[in-house]
Amino acid sequence: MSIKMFTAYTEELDDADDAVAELLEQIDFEELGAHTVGLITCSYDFIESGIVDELVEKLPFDLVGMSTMASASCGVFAKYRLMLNVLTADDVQFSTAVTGPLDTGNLDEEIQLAYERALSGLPDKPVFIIGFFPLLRSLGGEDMVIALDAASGQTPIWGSIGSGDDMSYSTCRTIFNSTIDQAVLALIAVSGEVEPEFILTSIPDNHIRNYKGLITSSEGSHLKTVDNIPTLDYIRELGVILNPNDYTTVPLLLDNDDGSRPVALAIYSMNDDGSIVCGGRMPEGAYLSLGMIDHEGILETAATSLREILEAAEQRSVALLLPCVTRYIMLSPQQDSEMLAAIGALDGVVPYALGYSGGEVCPMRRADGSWVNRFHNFSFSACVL
Amino acid sequence: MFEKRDATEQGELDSLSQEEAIALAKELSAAVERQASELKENQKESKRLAREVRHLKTEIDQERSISIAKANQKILETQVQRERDRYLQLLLASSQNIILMLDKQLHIAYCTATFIATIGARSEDEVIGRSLHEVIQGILEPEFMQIIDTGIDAAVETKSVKILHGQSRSKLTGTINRYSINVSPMFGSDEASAGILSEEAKVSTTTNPSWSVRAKGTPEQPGTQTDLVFEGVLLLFNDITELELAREHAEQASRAKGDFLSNMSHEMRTPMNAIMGMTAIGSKAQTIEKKDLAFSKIDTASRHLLGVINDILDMSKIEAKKFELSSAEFNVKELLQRIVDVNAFKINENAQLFEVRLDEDLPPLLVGDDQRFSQVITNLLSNAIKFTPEGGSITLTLAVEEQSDTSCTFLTSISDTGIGISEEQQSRLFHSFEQAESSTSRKFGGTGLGLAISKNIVELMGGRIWVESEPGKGSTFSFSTTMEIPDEEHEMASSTDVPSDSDNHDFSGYHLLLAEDVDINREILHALLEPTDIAIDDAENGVAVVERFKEHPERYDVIFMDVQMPVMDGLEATRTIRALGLPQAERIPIIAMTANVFREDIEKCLAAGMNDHLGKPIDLDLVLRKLNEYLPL
Repeated sequence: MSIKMFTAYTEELDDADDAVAELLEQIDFEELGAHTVGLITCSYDFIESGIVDELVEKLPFDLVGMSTMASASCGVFAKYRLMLNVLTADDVQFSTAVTGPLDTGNLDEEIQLAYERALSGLPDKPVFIIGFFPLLRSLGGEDMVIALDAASGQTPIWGSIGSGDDMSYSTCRTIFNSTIDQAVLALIAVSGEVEPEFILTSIPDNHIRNYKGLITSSEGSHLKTVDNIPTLDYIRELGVILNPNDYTTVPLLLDNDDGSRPVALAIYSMNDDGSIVCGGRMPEGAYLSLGMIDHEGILETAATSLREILEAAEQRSVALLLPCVTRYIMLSPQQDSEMLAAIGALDGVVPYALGYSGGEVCPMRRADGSWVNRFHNFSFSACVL
Repeated sequence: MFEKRDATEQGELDSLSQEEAIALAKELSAAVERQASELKENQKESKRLAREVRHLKTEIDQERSISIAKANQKILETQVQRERDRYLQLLLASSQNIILMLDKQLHIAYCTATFIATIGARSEDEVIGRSLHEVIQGILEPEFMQIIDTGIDAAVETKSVKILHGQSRSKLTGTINRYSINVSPMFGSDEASAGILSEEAKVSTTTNPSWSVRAKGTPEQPGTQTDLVFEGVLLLFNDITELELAREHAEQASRAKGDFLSNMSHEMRTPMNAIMGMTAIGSKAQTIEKKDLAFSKIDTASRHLLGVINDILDMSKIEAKKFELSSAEFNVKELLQRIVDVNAFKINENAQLFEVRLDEDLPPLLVGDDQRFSQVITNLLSNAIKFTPEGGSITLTLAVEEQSDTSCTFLTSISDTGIGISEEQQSRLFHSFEQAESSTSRKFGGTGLGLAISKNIVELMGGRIWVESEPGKGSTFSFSTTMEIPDEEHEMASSTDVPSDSDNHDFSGYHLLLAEDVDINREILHALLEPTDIAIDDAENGVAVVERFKEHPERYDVIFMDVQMPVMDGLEATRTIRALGLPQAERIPIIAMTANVFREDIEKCLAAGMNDHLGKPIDLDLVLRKLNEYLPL
């Protein structure tokens, strides 16, 4: 059990001093190991109120994380909450870095530079990378994953895009110490005596429509036509209603034909020409089907992930959980079901932290057992250390 | 607090004491602090309210998204369900089988269109929701329903598929149909159901259509086990009527073939026994007369055996669809004469009266397969001889029905005053492997193939064969055929043909080259032809015959060529001789001797360059005829 995790949380929003004091009281700084990093997931309110800034000033280690709609740890959960998870170890090293604001033009370069900065702080090549990615409507999540994958030489990448308070995701933020920005990527490169296990479930098979459409025209995550008709027309012909203000609740399932399971992806933006930008790349010649995300399916896949986490945790000491925020929304009116399930399964068994994600980054196993970095939506992603 | 003071008041301020000024300042400061604090509180409150408003807006937006997402899911689910329903309807409409899905009360929940048609209903509305008994009872027999009821009981009790067999006459159509019925009980898991049912859970459909069979949980944990709940029964009816009929026919045919094989065995062993027995007797006989008698019986028996073998071979050709007719000109009267000659002995032996009536208008020459035509007449005639008692009469009649310049349709009839044939026996008469009845074969002998072969020959000739008969009064077998009439030139030519001198048995001065690998066959031919004084040189295979011929091409007048020989077969040897480039090689008659008498085998011989063929076993008369035909005068 190499890595330890200490968790602190607060729901105090009105008084920054009180909030920070409450957090610091929960961390025994005497118990920290040689190497430490802080993970933060919090509602945007904590950012807006200055609590995060004040916390950053008080902590003796880097603080990296994201905004979220809800979180759970230590047997409790809440929507408007700040959760601080301190990872510390003697034989595991953490090195952090952040990019500048990303766009389609500077993606590769910024990510490359950030990785190199993180790498310079480690004695060895990282075993894996924890990444907090920005939500950019013009860029699919997978484009950023691919860039970091290339920069890091296919090092396994686990992490998330943040989620905001509202359906427009305007309050999504990446947090890197005092840099809190909508468009930056923050990363923690981890090396040393650690063997992470990555777990992911998304849409159950019986919630995936059997009928598939052939992707006939696409460019990266920009999906233009399916079965030779504009993508939006294809989706609408199936009778699906697309909310112009929020269309992220329509799961698209993509089969990459490499022995791994189908990847669930969301619609990031809809264009006037009928094309869409998705969370991940949609290669021509691949097949697309629609999925359903409902209470039954969400809890079924959560249960599967939790079982796998418990199995992995027999040899490990920390569980970090990043389920997709759409799952939280679609559980309505029992929105807390998934967090309750996680608490029920893990509380008292292994230290855990759950924060809802706006887009999951999690490696998947190929048929030959090797990892391939992928971007997902609608998934329950976990990293057990 | 801060009241506006005029100049007079300002003057009053100036007159305040220091203490009063300090007190006022403190009061002012406190007021400012209070204001600041209130402002801070207000700002805090304002922020909180703004936050809560934002949260509320978020909640509202979320609810809107959720309701749209749920609506989308509903749409997709409905679409999937609609497609499934559509394909289920297509399955039910398209399936050729009768498929019924019964619910827990054994009422019909689903059924195929075939079922609806079978029971004469107009649509599924007349059927869905009604009990199986109600729907089927008036149409199928009660015994059949009982079989189904029993099958359902058993299937549900054992929770396993049962396969039943039954037949029923439909009251709608009157036809009898046989069914193989798969009865599959359907159970679903029901975690909400509680408890263990008592033993009386199983109920027969004939007394109470309500089912509630459940799996047993443990007494300690009632309701916590997943109970199996009876959901209904799936019935799949396979109409096996045709299959069963085909099976019965196949069994019947198999039995008939078995009988036939048994009969054939007898038919072949009997003459073989005579041949072997008479051979032994003849070899030990001390007198020429006894030897001659033995050889005569061997001759009779071997001809009989050959007849049986030929019948079997003909039948094989028919079954393999390789039975073909040849076409050649023949003289009708001569053909009839040969037939009469062959059968005369038997007729005389039976003291039967025999008459031939030939229509005057029947052309003297016809074009057809004389051999097969003769075979049919011979078969019918030999039956008439066989089944007519001593002193009875037999009449062979050929009567013209229709005639033109080029063809003639005529009727050939053989009438007898024999034992006659019943109607039921007549229906089986022309089928292979069957005589009128099996006792006939025992009493009168025969392969039972003759009429089937005759029917085939007549039908290949484009005709029809039939029988009119009455038990005890005799029978008339008739067949009609159409044959071409040769044209006059040809007729003239044939009339000026050099008459074949089949009676000439003197071939001295002629030289025959015999290619035959089997010693005994060579010996037989030498012995048969010895009286003719023809010189014979032997060759044991194709290579030898070619060498012999090459050495002395002018010596030989005719070659008898066995087809199947080692080293080089007869076909190859013939091709080789014809390709030698010698004048004699091109013109010497080569006659095949072959046991293969299929048409294609004969055609292979002709294609190789042979002129004619002789079938084995060798018939001396035919050999002499061929020699007369091909040896130059």
